[in-house]
Amino acid sequence: MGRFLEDGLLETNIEGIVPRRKPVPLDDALWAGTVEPRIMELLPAVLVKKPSLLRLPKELPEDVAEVMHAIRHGKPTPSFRGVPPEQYLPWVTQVGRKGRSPSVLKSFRFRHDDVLRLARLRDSLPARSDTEVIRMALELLEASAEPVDSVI
Amino acid sequence: MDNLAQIFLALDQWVARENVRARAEGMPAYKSCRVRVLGQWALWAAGVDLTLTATQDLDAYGDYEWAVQGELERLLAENGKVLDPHGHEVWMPRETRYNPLYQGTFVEALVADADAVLISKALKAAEKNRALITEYLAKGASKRFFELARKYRVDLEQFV
Repeated sequence: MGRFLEDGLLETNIEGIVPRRKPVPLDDALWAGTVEPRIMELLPAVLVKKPSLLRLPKELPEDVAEVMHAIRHGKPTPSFRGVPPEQYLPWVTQVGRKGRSPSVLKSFRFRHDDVLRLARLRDSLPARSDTEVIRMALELLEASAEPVDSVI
Repeated sequence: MDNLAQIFLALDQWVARENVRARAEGMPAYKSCRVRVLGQWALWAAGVDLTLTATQDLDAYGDYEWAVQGELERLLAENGKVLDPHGHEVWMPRETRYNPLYQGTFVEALVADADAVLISKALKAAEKNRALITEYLAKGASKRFFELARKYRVDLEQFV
């Protein structure tokens, strides 16, 4: 709990809990989560967005690896040690870099002229990367597309 | 949570400034609003003698306009807090008493009474709040808590 207090993720009036800077072993955090459910609620987000708070073992428990994979890859998320996804998912955008959910790796095959177009757009737009050009294009496309049910 | 009243003061001042500007520009001013703080932060603000641990999210009912809510969210974020987007869905007993936390010109902030908050927790999130309710019962819960528990059919046996 001390590690989460230090990072402002939790507040408590329990005396004697000292904020600590050192990463805590995952096993300890999982145990603490059985005592204070709010720790368990935060853990999936911490594992994905701020794993530096924890000392992770070489081999992660299966359910920990599963919930991390689901969050990272935008897959259906399982309940995590009794905490349903609707309780832990909101923290994914609040922990670490605020307002950001983890990015998902997707690969596409482009033709040569698409690659050149992407490079031209990256230079002409205020975009820092090819991904940002595609993100801007998607946002523009979505904003300009008419919702299907409004078409008569 | 000492700074909760300060946050509402800052919100009140912001609304006042925006309303002066709106009137000068002939635009409609923001209406007064009432914010009712619920959940863990209500217990904190009430200073109950219980072991409390809270995440950053603030549950509240608010009748504020969208822009005022946005400014409240910004002020909370400055203080490491988040306005829970589902806070307005929190169930509270009809008998909940709301005690004043901050009374300003445009913003009134109230906190739900501890018995009502604890009944809400015991009924809707028993597992998550098991330790808290057990501690309250062990320390001698109020007569009102037991009355509310009976009325709303809260199974207190599960906490002992």
